[in-house]
Amino acid sequence: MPELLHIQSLLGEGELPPPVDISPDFREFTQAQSVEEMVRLAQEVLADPTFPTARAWRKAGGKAVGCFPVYTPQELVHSLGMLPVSMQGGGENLEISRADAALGSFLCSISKSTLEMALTGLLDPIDAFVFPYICDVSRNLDGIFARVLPDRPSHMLHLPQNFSSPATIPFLVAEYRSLLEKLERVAGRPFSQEDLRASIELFNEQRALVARLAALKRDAPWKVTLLEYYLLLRLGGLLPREVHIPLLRRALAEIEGRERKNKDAIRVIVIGPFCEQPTLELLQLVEDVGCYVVGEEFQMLHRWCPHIEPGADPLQSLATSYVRTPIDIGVRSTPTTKGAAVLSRVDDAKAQGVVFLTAKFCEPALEDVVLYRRALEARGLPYLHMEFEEKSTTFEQARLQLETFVESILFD
Amino acid sequence: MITGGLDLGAGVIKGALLEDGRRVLATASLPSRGTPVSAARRLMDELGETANIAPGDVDYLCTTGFGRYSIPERNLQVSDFTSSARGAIFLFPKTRMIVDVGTQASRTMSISETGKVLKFKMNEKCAAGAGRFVDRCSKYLQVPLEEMGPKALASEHPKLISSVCAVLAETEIINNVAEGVPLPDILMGVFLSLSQRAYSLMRYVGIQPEVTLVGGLVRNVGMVKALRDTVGMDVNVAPDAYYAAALGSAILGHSRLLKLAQAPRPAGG
Repeated sequence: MPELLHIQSLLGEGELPPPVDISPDFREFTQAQSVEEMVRLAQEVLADPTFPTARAWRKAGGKAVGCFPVYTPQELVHSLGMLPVSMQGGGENLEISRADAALGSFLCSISKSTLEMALTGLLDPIDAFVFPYICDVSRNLDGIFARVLPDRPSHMLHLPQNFSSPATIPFLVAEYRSLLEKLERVAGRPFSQEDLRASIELFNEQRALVARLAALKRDAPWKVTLLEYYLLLRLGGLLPREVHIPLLRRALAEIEGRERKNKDAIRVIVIGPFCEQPTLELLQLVEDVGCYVVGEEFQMLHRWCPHIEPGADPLQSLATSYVRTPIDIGVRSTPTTKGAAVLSRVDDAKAQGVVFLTAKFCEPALEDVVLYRRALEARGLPYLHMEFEEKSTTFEQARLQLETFVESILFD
Repeated sequence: MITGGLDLGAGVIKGALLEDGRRVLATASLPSRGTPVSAARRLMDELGETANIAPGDVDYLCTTGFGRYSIPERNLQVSDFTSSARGAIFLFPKTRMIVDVGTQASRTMSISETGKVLKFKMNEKCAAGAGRFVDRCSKYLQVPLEEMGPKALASEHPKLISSVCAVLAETEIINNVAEGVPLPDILMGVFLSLSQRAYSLMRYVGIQPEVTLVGGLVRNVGMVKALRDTVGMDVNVAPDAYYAAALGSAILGHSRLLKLAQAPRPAGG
């Protein structure tokens, strides 16, 4: 009999225990008390391309569903008793050998590393895959997965781009039902509205804590480094949410109580890395050279909707919240409002400049940079555009560009 | 006040000593030969001798360039963009755009009337857009670096290089040699190739006069002609522009000294 953890004692009032027995493999996360310890654990998880959290979950008898960025309604997966796991590429340690033969050199790193993981067995702990249609690459990955991993379901999730039509929400509900049909087969149990309501409530708790951390990073950026902030958020898409929520609560308690000096740094917003992820070294570099990141687009899966009221029809609520979100990032086609949106974000964060950190060949991000730049130039706001790849190893050029950007604002 | 500026480039270290941020006391350069720290110290000694100044008389040392963090004696380090901008505006006060073709990378930037960097762009991971490409061509064609420019001026029909990669461009040059293309045409083709890459960067930043060329290739008359022809406007060139980043560092060091004098740091701070 597996050793059970007393998860209930770590949860807040009204929170649900996890749908499967959490194995001892999560004990380090449930017992981690300091942010330093949590950061170390997160780095270990990210350095291991074999999805250790999904493996641990399956060991306890559960099933895991891989969710490609940017947004998958994870509540659907969770309500069926499965673990939604963010698939955000292979990171800097994964060698690409087989995927290069199948995909063009002009495609983003995340598409290649994701396929490489599929071809080399690294995705074995994942039982099914969801690819939201955010770009042509993500759309085609669904088809490729259906061919290379035929024994495991893969689903392309169509997300609407028309946000004003009365048909939009019914369309999305139908899409969610189509996804649910596949997920039910994987889970081996039927969907229920009651379970979905409970899952939405649980994710509301996670969203609220993430929002609290993001507000703290915006208002007192010296209290939490970008690296700590990022890793705490990144764990949220990998750990069982029942483990991540108390962990994040403990982290917030420490961070909010920190007494740290407010450095002479410039406040910037980082725009672009909503899908493929830059290396941790690059993230650290942004603040090392003298920036405070007071707004960004990392781990948007936790932040798509501030709060969802489950209501009588939770599926409808989930779809409505996606369509009516105030989030306006690269994967939403809103060309007429992008300029105003970036200025509003700058104002809200009291930012002094914008750093565009876009993945090489990321069309959604690169197309919007043009719109953002126009708005920033009209206002006379400084910006810097840098591109990254998953396997970046030298950062001298990035450092030089970031330093120049900081110096151009600091020196008269 | 005496301030020093050191530009620790990938191939050459350049230095400048200034008095009161305005008067140039000495400039000099040395190849780094893989030992940038000792080369930089030798260069500082040489600068001191030229200016008749003891090492301890330098009030503030500001470094820039690839090895800007490697000198323990420095008071401050700044990026190449920031230092080149201050140096260029010092040499040519109407400069609004700077082109710097260095050993490792090419850079362009637009600057304000005070020398503040407004917008900038550099080439990435591409030897074909940097001075290293000229080094390699010099070795392959067996033409000393300092002779490449004057020889290129004799070109009547420059042979443009179409490859976007330095390695493939070398192959293209080998083919040109085999086909009997005159040496001046090959050399001018090399400089035009570099100029066109710099021009792409300039267009990204937004071309505006006056344009000043700084850095390693400022002494190369072939490169200067190629850049002027490619951009279609005059380009400021001066011997001291070779030291623009070192001069700019010394100038920034001086302004930092003035600020520190106004608001001295507390002891131990």
